[in-house]
Amino acid sequence: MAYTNSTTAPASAHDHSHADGHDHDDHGPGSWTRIFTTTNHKDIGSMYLWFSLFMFFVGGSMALLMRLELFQPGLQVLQPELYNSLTTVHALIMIFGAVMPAFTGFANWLIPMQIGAADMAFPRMNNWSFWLMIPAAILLFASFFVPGGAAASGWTLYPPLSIQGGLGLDMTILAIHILGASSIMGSINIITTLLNMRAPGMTLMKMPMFCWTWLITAYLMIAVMPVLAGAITMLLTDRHFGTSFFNAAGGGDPTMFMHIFWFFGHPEVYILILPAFGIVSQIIPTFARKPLFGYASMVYATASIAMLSFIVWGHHMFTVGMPAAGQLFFMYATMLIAVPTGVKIFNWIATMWRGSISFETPMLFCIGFLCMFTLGGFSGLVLSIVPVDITLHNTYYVVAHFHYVLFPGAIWGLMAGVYFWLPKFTGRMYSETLGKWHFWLSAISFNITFFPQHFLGLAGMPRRIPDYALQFAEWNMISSIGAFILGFSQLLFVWNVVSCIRSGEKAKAKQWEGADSLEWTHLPSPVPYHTFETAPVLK
Amino acid sequence: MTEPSKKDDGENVEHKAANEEHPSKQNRQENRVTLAKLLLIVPVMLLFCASLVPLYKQICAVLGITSQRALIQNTQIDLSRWVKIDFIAHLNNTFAWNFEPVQKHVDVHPGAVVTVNYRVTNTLPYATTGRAVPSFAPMEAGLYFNKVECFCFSNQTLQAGETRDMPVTFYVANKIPDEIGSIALSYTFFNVTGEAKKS
Ligand code: HEM
Ligand SMILES: [Cu+2]
Repeated sequence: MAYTNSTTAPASAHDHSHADGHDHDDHGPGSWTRIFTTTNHKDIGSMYLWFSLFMFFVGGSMALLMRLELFQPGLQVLQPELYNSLTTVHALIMIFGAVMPAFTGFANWLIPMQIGAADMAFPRMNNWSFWLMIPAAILLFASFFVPGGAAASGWTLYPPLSIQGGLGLDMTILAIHILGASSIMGSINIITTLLNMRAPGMTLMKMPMFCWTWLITAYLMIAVMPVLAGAITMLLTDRHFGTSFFNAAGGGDPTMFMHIFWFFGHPEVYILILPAFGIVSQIIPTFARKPLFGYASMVYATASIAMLSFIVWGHHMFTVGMPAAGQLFFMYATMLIAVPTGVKIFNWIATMWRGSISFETPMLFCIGFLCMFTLGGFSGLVLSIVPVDITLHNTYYVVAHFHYVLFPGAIWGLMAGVYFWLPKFTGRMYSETLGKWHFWLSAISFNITFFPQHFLGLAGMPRRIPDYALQFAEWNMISSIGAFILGFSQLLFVWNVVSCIRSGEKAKAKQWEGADSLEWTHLPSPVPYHTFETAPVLK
Repeated sequence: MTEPSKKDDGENVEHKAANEEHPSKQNRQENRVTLAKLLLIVPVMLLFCASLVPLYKQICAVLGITSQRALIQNTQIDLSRWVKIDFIAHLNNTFAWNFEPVQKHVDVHPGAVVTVNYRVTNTLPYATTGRAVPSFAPMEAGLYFNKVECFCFSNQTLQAGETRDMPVTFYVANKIPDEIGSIALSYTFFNVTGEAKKS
């Protein structure tokens, strides 16, 4: 795609002073208190990103506590009740507090710039959707300190456990409600921006892949978040108002909850990965110095993944005693998703094929993404086979599967994105040396942590237990050692980001020579507070 | 949207004046419409969620996918042979109930589990208790006739005028000799009303 700039210099290189009373920057760019009132998409993007970085470390600390307990068989540091709360809240924080807000942060930063818009469509709603997350996070943390402790039912909140839990569960349900509302508002904002505010000449099929993946993700979110809200509302009324949706004693059906939950849950796992697909689709062509291979097929593959994701939920519940016809349907439908996913993987590889590749940190993370995510996809395929899943369900094999798709998938996609766009956001370069250390330490320790969990699962170790049989001891110890290296190497990332912002070398407007989206071709680094106040003209 | 022309600060300012609000007025209108459309998805999906319970039941009933048993087959059935079972009902002559098999006979494969019903009616104007005793013809067939569930040997009390279906679930053992091609199963009901009161 070639964009030509009708102006001789970047269109909005100079920071317009806004004496004309726009409602979206009451405090101006200078004062920190503006974070409460700001409606600027870049401010809000940064707030989302910092928030999710914080939550990433909170969730990560919980994971390390669990790995500490699992270092040896027996109970050493945690009581089983607390351990169960940690598995539950770790997952909820990582999903709703770290990965989803981080993607939204990138969406806020990048979407207006990539389509040549001045801001998001609903700047004030944007501010709300960020601030809603704070009470939700506080509710989740506080639930550890109420009688009965935090929710301990697993992030899937299956009844009857979730009907029996204490006040902590109600707080969790409320927190999820708030986060759901925040995601829906964010998604509406993103869709509206993408549909209505593109610069003249920016047709849908010219949008960068990141915008496309977000468009599709946002639709997924609006469709499934209300379903989750419905499910947990029914839980709440079962708990407090004597209904029996899922309460078997009153004629309800606990497996019904599973059906409803996973109708949300499987699209949700794609919500957690599609924007990462978008980020990777921007970075790989940049460093391969070739346009993305099969742009249109990428768009269609993403859309088909999203649509298929609505009809595969049953693969999470092969063991509930569903009819054989149901098992077969869900098995084949699940395997079918591997086809568009494969199309994407092959397109990325074809993009790199015969490119003049250089291996800067963002590219390293993308290549790591490609290799490890594909492995996770394979273990997913193994799990989609009904008779195999019946023995592997709820074992560590499943834990290994989803960490392979989520850590190198979602998290590395995000890391790659941060390294890639940091020069654009801050006008300064991060340290390549530190970045490479971060990558290699993460890549090696990730595999030390999670590869052995395949073996543990195959040998029959159940997930969500604080103690285990002695034959699992060695691999658990190795996994825990890996986890600590993995956890602490993420500190390199924080250090790198902070020192980049403080004292990094000055970055060029087009820091990466292969980059071709508007934020690189039309805007200086750092990007000014207001960009594309007048839309650029694209040919 | 107007096209920005050459880079010229003066022109840019003018341009901004024309476009005073961001997003522009026209954009705002469009955005509101999109917002309304997208918001509509939320209640629709909530309704959908609430209707999932009846929907599942309907869809599964329509498609006939209601049981996991489809794959669980009894491999012990000897499909090469048939045995005819005749059902016979007798009443001890002191007794005034109606008692008869719902089906007079069935053909079964050895190994297959089958359920049949007998129907009894108490035609007396007061409650009575009966007890049924089974017998086979030929006698030898009793060795191969396995009852999983049966109403025999236990007291059955029927109120005046009451009718009841009593099931018998059975299978014929695979090792039944070829020469036994048919079995008659007969039940005889005895009146044990007095006895039941005593005990
Ligand atoms: C080819 C693609 C994939 C296939 C075939 C697949 C298949 C499966 C199956 C069959 C299970 C259920 C295992 C069980 O509980 O017994 C599962 C669990 C899971 N998958 Fe995947 N998956 C794929 C991709 C993904 C992706 C891309 C993500 C997220 C980014 C993901 C996240 C998860 C999670 C979080 C769970 C566990 C949920 C839980 O029980 O807590 N999967 N997957
Ligand atoms: Cu799934």
